[in-house]
Parts: sequence; C-alpha cells; structure tokens
Amino acid sequence: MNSRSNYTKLLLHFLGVGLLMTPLSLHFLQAQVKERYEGPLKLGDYLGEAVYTYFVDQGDTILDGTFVLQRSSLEALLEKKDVSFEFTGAFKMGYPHGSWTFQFGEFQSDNTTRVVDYQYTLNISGSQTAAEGVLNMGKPQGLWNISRDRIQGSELEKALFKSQIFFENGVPQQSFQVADSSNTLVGRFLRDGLAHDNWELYSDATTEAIEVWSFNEGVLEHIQLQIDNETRRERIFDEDLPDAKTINLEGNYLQIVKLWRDFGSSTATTEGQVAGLLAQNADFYNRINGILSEIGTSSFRPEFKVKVPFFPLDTIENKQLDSIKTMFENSYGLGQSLLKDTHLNILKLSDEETEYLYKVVEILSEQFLLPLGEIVRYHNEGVLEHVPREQLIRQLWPTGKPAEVITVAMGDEGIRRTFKGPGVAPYQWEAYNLNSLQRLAEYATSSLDTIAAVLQAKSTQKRRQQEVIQLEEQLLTQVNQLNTYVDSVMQNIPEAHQRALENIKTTVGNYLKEYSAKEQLDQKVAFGEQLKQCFREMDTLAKRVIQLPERSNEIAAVYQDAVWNPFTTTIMTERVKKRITGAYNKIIMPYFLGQIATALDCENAKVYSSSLERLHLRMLALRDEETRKLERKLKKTQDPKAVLQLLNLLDTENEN
Amino acid sequence: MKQHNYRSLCFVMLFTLLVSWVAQAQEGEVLPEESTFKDPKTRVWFNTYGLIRISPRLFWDAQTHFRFEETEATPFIGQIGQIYNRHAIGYIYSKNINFSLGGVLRVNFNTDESSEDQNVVPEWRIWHQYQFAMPLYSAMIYHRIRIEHRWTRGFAEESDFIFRNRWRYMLRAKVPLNSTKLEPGTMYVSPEAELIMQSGKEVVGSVMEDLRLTTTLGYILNPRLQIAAGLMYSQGQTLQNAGNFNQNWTIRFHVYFSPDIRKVKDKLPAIHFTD
Repeated sequence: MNSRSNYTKLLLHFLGVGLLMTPLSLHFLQAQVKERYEGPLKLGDYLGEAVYTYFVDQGDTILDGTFVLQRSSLEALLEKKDVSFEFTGAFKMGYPHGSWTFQFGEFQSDNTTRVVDYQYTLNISGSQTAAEGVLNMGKPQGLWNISRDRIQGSELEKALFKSQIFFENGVPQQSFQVADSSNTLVGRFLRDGLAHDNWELYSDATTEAIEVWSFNEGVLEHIQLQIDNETRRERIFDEDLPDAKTINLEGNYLQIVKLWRDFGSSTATTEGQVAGLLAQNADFYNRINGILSEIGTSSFRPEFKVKVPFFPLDTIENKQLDSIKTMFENSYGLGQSLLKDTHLNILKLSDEETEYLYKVVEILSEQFLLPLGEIVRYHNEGVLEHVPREQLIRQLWPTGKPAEVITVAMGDEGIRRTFKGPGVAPYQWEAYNLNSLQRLAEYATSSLDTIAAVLQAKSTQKRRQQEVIQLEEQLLTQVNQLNTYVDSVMQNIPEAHQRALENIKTTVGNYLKEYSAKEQLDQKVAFGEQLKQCFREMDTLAKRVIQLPERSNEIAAVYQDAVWNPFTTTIMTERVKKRITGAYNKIIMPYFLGQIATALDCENAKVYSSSLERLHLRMLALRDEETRKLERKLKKTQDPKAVLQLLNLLDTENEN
Repeated sequence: MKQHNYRSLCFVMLFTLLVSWVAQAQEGEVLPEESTFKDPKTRVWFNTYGLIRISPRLFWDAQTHFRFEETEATPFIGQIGQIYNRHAIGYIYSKNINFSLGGVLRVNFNTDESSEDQNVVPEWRIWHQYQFAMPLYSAMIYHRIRIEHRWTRGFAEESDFIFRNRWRYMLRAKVPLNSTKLEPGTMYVSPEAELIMQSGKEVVGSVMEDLRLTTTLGYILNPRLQIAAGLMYSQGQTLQNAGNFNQNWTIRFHVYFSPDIRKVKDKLPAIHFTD
C-alpha cells in the first residue's frame, strides 16, 4: 500500500516537471522555425514582390535562406517604358551569404509581338545593369562583375560599363579592370587593398595609355595625361606625406585629388577620365550596398584604399565651421527668399531704395556667401581635412576677399551707392583662415539681417496694400449682395421682419463707414478681416429672417392633428399644443425680431442666427415630445428669456 | 274648442283601450271635412349627443334629451315632458357611411295637468339607423334613415303597450358660415327636414306622425365638441284621427361631444379608413 502510494507520487512528480518544461521546449523550437514570406517589399527605392525565408528571434526578423525581390510590368512596358529589377541571392543569419545577382533594367518595347514556341515574345530596347558575385557574410568574396549594357531589339548592342574586381573578404586584391564604352582602366592593389603601382587608362583608339595614375602604397604621386600628343605629368602628393591617412577611394577622394591638382596648376586643369570611371564604379557599388544594408548586415563597398594628407581640425576650428555653417544656411536662404520675393521684384522697378538694397543682397550672396557655401560643402563631404585650408580659401576668393564697404551701380546712369553693414571694425577678414571666414560670415549675416528687415517691411507694406484692395472689393461685394436680396424680398414680408432686415442693412452700412474712417493700413486689414466674417454672419442672419414666415407656416402646419369628427363625418385639423405655438408666435418671434431690429452688432449676429436655427429645430422636435409639464409652465410666463429657458434655448443666447 | 278636442281625445283613447286593439276601434272616429290644425304647442329640448369611439370602427352612441313643454302659465319650459335615453353601437363603414343599432328608454311624463292617471310611464324602442354623408362645395349634406320599433302605453293604470314602427328620413345640411370648411372655430347653419312616418295596427290613416322643419346655428369648438341651437316647426297627424294635426314650435339646444377613449397610439391610423 505504502510503496504503491510512493509510486503514484513519483509519477505525479514527473508529470508536473514535464508540464513545466513544455512551454520552454516549445519556445526553443519556435526560435528554429523558419517562415516564408511572399508579398510586397520595399527596399530603398525598390518596391516589388519578394519571396524569402526568415525566422523571428526575440522580436527581430532575421533573414535566412533564399531571397528574391523582383518587379517588372508588362503593362508599363507597353504603355511607355518599364523600370524592372530582380535581386536574387541568399541570407545566412541575417547576412547576405552565397551567390548574388542584381539586375536593373530600363526597357521600352516596339509593341510588336510574335509567337515563338507557344510563347508570346516581345522585343525590348533599353539598358540593363547587372552585378553578380559571391558574398561571404555580407562581404564580397572572389570575382565581382558589374556591367551595364545597351540592349537594342532584345540583343546586346554595346557594353556601356564593365567592372571586374577580385575580393578577399571584402578587400580588393590583385588587379582590377573598369571600362566604359571607349576606355579601359587597369590597375592593381596590394594585399591590404591599398592602391599601388600605375593605374593605366587605355583608349580603344590608341595603344599607349592615355592617362596614368601612379600610386605608391596608396599615395597618388602623379598623374600623367596625354593631351594633344603631349605628355603632361602632374605631381599630386609627396612620397612621404606628413600626416597620411588611409581612406576609401570614393567621391571625396576624387574631390581631394581635384583640389590638389588645382593647387598645383596655375591654369585650369584638364579633367582626366580615370576619376570619372572610378566614380561610376563607386556609384554601382554604393547602389548595391544601399539595397543590401536595408535588409541585412553588409559592407558592400569596393574598399579601394588610398592615402591622403591629413590636416586635422582642432576644436576651435570645428566650432568655427559649425558657426559658419549655421550662418551660411540661414543667410543664404534669407538672401534667396529676398531675391525671389515677387513683391520686391516689382517694387525694385519703381523704388530706388529697394533696387539699391536688392543689389547689395545680390553681392552679399555671390561674393560672401557662395564661397562660404563651398567651404561648408567640403566640410560636409569630409574633404576639408585633407587639403591645406589657406590654399583652399585663396582659391575660393581668387581676386581677394570682398571689401567691407559694398559699392553698387544704380540705374542706367551708373550712379554709385555704397553700403556698409552694421557695427564697426573689427570686421577684418584678410587672413586666410577659418577665423577670418567666420568674421566674414558674421558680417554678411548681420548685413543681410539689417537689409531683410527693411526689405521685408517694404514687401509687407506692398502686400498689405494689395490685401486692402482685395479686402475692400470683397466687403463691397458682400454688402451689395446682402442689400440686393434683402430689397428683393422686402415687399412680401411682414412689418416686424422688415424692421429687422432694415436694421441688418443699417448695421452693415455703419460698420462699413467705421472701416473707411480708419487710416492705418494695419488697422484696416485687421478690422476688414473681422468685418468679412461679421458680414458673413449678417448675411446668414438676414437669410434666416427672410425664412421666418415660411418657417412659421411650417411650424403651424406641424402643430396640427387630423381628427375625425363623427358628427360632421369630416376630418378636422386641430391645432395642438397651443401654448407652445403661442409662445413661439407671440413671445419669442417678436422678441428676436425686436432684438435684431434694435440691438444688433457683429458679436450677437451669430448668436441670433444660431438661436433662430435651434429654435426652429426645437419647435419641430417638441411637436412629438411629451410637453404637458412644459405647457403648464409656459402658461405662467410672458417673459421671452424665461420662455427661451423653458425651451432649453437660453444657453446659446448667453454664449459668447 | 280646445277643451272639446281634449275631451274627445280622452274619450277616444279610453274607448280604444277599453274596447279593443283592433281597427274597429276607430269606428267612432269620423274624418272631418277638412283637416284641423291644433294650436301649436311650444317646447324646449335640451339634447346631448355623445359619440364615443371605442374601436377603430365602432362607437357608442349615447344621447340624453330633456324635453320640456308649455304649461298654461309658462310657454316652452313649463314642465318636463320626456326624458329620453337613446343608446346604440355604431359601425363606421367609411368616412361618409355609418350604421347604428340600439335601444331607447324614454320616460314619458304625464303633462295633462288634470289627469289623475299615472305620472310617469316608460316607452321602449329598438332602433337602427343608416346615415350617408356627401360633401357639397364647402358644405356637407346628410341623408339619415332611421327605423324604430316602438312600444308605448298610455298613462292610464293597467294600460297595455301598443306596437308601432316608425320610418324616418332626414335631409340635413351643414353649411360653414365663417370658413371654407367645417373646422374648429367654424360657425355653421344647418337646415334640416325630417319626415316621420309610422305604421302599425293602431295606426289608421295617421301615417305621417311628424314633419319637422328645423334650422340650427352651430359652432365647432374643437373636433370633439360642438354646440348648436335652433328652432323647429313640426306638424303631424294625431293617432286618433288622421284629419287632426298637432303643431309644435320647439326651441332646441344641442351639445355634441365625441371623446375618444382609445389610447393615443391606436387613434392615429384610424383617421383614414380606406384612403
């Protein structure tokens, strides 16, 4: 007996533990369960139909398994042109992993179809961009091919671009080749991805290299160009850079190189073609990186490493740049808004002062702000730290920095007027450093602010005048309309109503007089706007008053019962709830009409018209309500306000 | 003359009752050479008419009339003549047609000041009525056929009931005076003519019991209450001798009321019966 009960206990124990474990094991299993998604997906600019597998881990969707996102529209193709794309590949634990292809197409069709092998075929023309290669946990591995081809009549007509780069764990290796339709760039990297040796650009037309970029362990030493059968060699960076920094060969590097070339040459430099090819290549890689980084973790960039000189910005300089940036953004926007202001553009034709200030704004924008904008742009692009600042500033103001006193030529006679911004020296910005640029920016900003205050006031004044003209037209239209239709009904309306309508007309007329008496433009606009609203209310009120006789009839008709009288054997209409209709006709109506005829203004016009509206609705509603109590109370009062209160209408009356 | 007539009337009545019910009873009556018209009697009637709706189609017709007549000293309202209770259940066939069937208990007072007979005797009737109305311009025209089966007895002790049928047709108009239709607040004039014929074993020759010509002026207070007053001239053959005619001038006052005791929700759809 005892052992048996022990056995039972044991069994229960196991059962209990088992039950506790079940949710845990289920949870563990769930983490492993892959799910499949089929449906629309948007990656950056690409919206298409996707098919992929994933699992959910702690609330995050982790892609794992094959992935396809594609879009093509036959309808769009036939209509005009279709922008299609198809991305195929696979993920592993959220990283793009395995073989991937990316295709982007822009096609048009000639709209002629043929049936071939039980399929409709349609010729297309346009261009197709394709990238293919292997990714290892998000990084390119092995050979990556990127190509852009022109398609004509469904056949490859011309290769527009081609890039072949070999990667080892995301780092470019050995030699690479980038070509467009006429030139081919060949170069190589060291094992750590640093550009090295000569990168040579060959043209289809010649056998010799037409442009050579010579790198030495990432440092671009010179560029050799063939111009008009002449070889020109430009020195770029010194072999031993003082403070070299390794960066990626991307857009900003090409910008740095361009700036350095400009520094080294007195004349304008010839733009080579290598930079263009490299930029194109970087664009393609960026495009794919953009797509991949939307859905997983990847660093799909060509990681061409190069070394550039480094002139770090100190804390003060960074602050100065931030301040320049803020001032530039505000002032340039302000300047542009003034230059584009339509009122000012009209006003400057007739007003000399406006013309003068307008021209000063032009000069401030062009000579002060635009070069500052370049500095800001270089800073944003990360170029500023890799060029000597002084040289850069000299180049931005090649003829020297603008003077504090701005001289403008006025009119056809060329009379000169000068402008000097607010404040006195020290507005000195001769030095070629960020500190003086900050002062320059301060001067431009404060000058623009001063001018803006004057010009905006002028513009506002001009706008006000136009507003007033418009406003007055509107007010007169309102008044005329009101008078016209009030006059048209005057004959056919009871006297009490006539008096009310007359007073609406008179009140509106008086307000208009009050408006004309105002002289200040500001006051006119403000009061006129109020009147516009007020006249709308008056208009509504007049319409309500005109409606009243008709509405009284409606109420009289509603407050009737049809009763069969057996003595006459006729159906008789009987007025019902006479206390209520009596109060309506004999107390409330005369009260409202009296108020409108004697105590009307902009404030209460709306109250009256809404009260009349509510009164009507209330009267219609009371017909069917139980009103014995109300009728008893109505018997005792003749006071309109008390009656309104009994009808629950006084609240509105007291509002406002 | 008057005295004489009265005596002969009494005589005839006594004779009739004592001798027999049969037609031979009038053997003694001789038709005069010319019809004789008695002096008109003056009377006042106070009539109440109630039509009480009890269902969409049915109503209870309840009338109570107080009829006074002259005494020698007082014209019109000298003494009570009859108290009259008329009840029926009516059926509204359509707006313009209705029928009624019911009974009457009339209490007749002996107005013969010299009589030593009973003061009060009952009179019983069963009646049915068919009324047709038709609109005519702003007025209404009514045709009323009323048939009554009537048991009456004299005031003499132990006198028996005699049975007669009455055949009544009334043509009446109600013409609004201050309105284009009959509606609350309307004053109307109502000319009417009613011919009352009778038949029965006791009726020998005197078939025209009464011809009533009335003009009434009425006022509609509301659909459920009207008042009216009018003057009626009437004449008819006496039962005893067809050559003799009674005449009456009667002032009549009427109150018409028609309460609807149904619940409000039941009233509404019943206003229009078929349209």
